[in-house]
Amino acid sequence: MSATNDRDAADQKTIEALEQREATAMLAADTSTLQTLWADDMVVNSTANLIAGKEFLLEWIKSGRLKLRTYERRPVRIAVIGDLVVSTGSEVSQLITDTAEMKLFTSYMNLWTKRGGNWQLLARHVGLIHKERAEPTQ
Amino acid sequence: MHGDQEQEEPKILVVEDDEDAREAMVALLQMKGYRAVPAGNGREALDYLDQAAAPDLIILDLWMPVMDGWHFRSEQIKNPRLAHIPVIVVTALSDRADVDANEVIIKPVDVERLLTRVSHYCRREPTS
Repeated sequence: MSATNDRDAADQKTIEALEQREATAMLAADTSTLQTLWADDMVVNSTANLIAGKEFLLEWIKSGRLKLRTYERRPVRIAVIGDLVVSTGSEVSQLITDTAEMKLFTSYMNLWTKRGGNWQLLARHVGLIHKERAEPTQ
Repeated sequence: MHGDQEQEEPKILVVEDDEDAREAMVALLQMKGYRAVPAGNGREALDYLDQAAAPDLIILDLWMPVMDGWHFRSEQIKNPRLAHIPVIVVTALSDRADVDANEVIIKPVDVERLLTRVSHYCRREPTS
């Protein structure tokens, strides 16, 4: 294995861990962790067809409007391209709304970038695959 | 539909058939201190406007069941009580947004741009 391949493999593992850390922080509405994982100029396109940045999304989470009962992320491919990593996969989440709980099956593409030696999420696109009503569970 | 509340905040009617998009838009407007009222299509919107005080702004999708955005807009313009209410059309139909509206925003919607334009048409600043 070349040094480049070794580095790419190490970066893949790092991003895999960060992807899970970010998903856990989303589930817990842990804005302190998200603050460090998200780049200041991050852009997100959601399943509601709304494009938002870091500041707005942190405000959204702090306001308590995003309520997740479960949130699982399953990366399918993680491609290292120098100081950029494209991670694609699927997510299953259970969203609590005012009137019901919904289970969402989505695909995602996350773009991570290395800045100052640290990886941060720079962009994210989420597409809806399927949505169904779910029973509230603990 | 939600009932009116006796508050000072600008009121915005969100007419959108996609539940996710409608709920998200209502929630973001409420987070910014606006009173946001949802309607699932043009018919529901007209029914609401028939019995409620006029909103400061209408955010209107075009492609909807029952009554689409074009039909709603033509009915609104015909009604002297409603014709003056500004309308921001929000649509994915970038090549078919041939509608008489104050503004057209193409989906996906940039939240910052939307809030800037909402603030412009509502004139009054929300409370938060």
